Amino acid sequence: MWNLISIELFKVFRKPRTFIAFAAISAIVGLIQMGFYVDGESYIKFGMQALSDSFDIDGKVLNGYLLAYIILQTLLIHVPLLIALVAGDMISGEANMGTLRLLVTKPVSRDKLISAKFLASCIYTLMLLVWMAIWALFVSMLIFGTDDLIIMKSELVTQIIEKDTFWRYLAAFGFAALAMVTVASLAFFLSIFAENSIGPIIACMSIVILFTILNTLNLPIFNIVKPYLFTSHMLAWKGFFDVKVNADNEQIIGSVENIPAVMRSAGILTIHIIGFWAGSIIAFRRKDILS
Amino acid sequence: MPTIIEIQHLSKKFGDFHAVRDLSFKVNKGDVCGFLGQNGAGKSTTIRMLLTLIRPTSGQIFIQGMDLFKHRNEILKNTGAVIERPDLYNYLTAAENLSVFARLSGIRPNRKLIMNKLEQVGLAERSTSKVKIFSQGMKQRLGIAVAMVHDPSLIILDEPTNGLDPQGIADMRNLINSLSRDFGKTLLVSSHLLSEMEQIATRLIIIDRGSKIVEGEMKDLLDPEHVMLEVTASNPDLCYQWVCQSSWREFVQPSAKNVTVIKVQQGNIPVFTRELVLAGIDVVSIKPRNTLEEYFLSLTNPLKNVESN
Repeated sequence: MWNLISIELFKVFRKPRTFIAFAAISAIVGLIQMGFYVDGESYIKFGMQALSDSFDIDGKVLNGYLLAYIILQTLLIHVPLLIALVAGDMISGEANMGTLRLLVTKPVSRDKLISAKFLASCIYTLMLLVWMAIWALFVSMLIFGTDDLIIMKSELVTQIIEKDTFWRYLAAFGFAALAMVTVASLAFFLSIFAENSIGPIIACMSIVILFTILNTLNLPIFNIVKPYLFTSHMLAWKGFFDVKVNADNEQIIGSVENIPAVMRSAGILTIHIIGFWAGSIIAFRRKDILS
Repeated sequence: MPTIIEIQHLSKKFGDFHAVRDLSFKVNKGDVCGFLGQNGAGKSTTIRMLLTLIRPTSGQIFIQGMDLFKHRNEILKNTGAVIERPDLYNYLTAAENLSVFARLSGIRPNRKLIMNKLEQVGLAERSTSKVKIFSQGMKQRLGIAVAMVHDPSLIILDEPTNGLDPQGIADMRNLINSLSRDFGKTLLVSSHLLSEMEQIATRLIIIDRGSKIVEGEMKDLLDPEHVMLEVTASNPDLCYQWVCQSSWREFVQPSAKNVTVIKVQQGNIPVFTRELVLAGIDVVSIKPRNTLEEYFLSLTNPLKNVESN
């Protein structure tokens, strides 16, 4: 199996389009970091204005952890497009090139072939998330240093002490990877049915946009399906930044306020991934290669 | 000779359309089998079924004595193919393409093997060039190298001369001849170029509208000692009736209206002509035809052939 996966990864990383996503993430994160480096203090001062009237705030509010949170929140909405670019091309791109028929005539079962391609898409997605973590977290820590993380939400302000923050990012990036693998598996599933990669990429993004819109509409008819939509769970990584407090309103180190909710979201995303994988295998088994 | 390919009652339907209908044939070891038919006759569909790209609606395929759908991987390990166009990864080099498909075929490629295969098809000097800059002929040759990289005993080529210039066609012919003669490969080759097929095939299968119409050894079908005579008479029905009732009746071939086609020995042409005239048939013309193209057209579209003559 590893032989097949390595062949697929070799092909993926020989295609120029693969590097668009890495370049785009580097450029976007770099721009955000530059913007905050030049003008970040005034931006933070403005944001903390209401808070400064009631509390004495010292230390570095604008630090690498805060920037990583801002970047993660912004980028994860757009990264699915970059992932669909590659995952949506895995089968349909081969069909379009005409190489799919040559692949299927090789002494490798269709199930293994599709699984190798699927896992290669997942590995690509994970590599993209690692790349994003390097830029968004480690480079930000290098440029802006570290301190306590202060997150302002509409109704409350959470302060997470510095020594209790790093592992939360690792968990958050891990969860984000799961969310992005779900998008990759959807794009991959759609690519089975197409003869060129444009169709699955657009279809995947349309589904993500449609489900995201459904999530924002607070109508009873949509509320029934919301818990089952994968987009409802893609931002559950934020749960790692909700901490428990003791009776003195002090943070409990290493705590997560609602770990069952985060785990439930992870479970639903995993079910989606397995479903898309199984669907891809079944669809490809029955497919007549006419391209 | 042992049978390498045996197809039994193979059919494929796409919706209501019967692409292949109850097709049965055999290819023996060492054959260069020409698989002929007009556009849409079902050649490519049959070849795709042989390579497991398409599932048959009914029927069975045995290759090297094994059921294709039960022993798929075992059979495909020993089969190489070029299907219609030699589509390869344009963003990879010739050597990289060959290496990818060698690994997929279950062998560990090394530089010596890759260069050896590229040399066989005359592409050794272009091993590091990306395929996107290759001409159609070069891609076709690389496609053959991909088909041969795991040294299969059976090679299936679907329209291997498509898009090639005359030199490319000649090169392909030489390559196919060499694969059969020097390497003992069994080849199933579909092509539109009948004159080329005539020069390479040892066995012929002709299909029309999904069904087989002829199967046999080339030497039997296009026997140089025999000739197909196309007889046109002013009273064609009488001519056909007389031939069917005469001692020549067993040599009558399927033919178009108004024309009688008969296969006779070269030496018997004067005898046949004399008997025809003595029988009172007003002979307008007797045309000999013994090329594959003429034979093919007479079988697949006799009316058109007569009109074109």
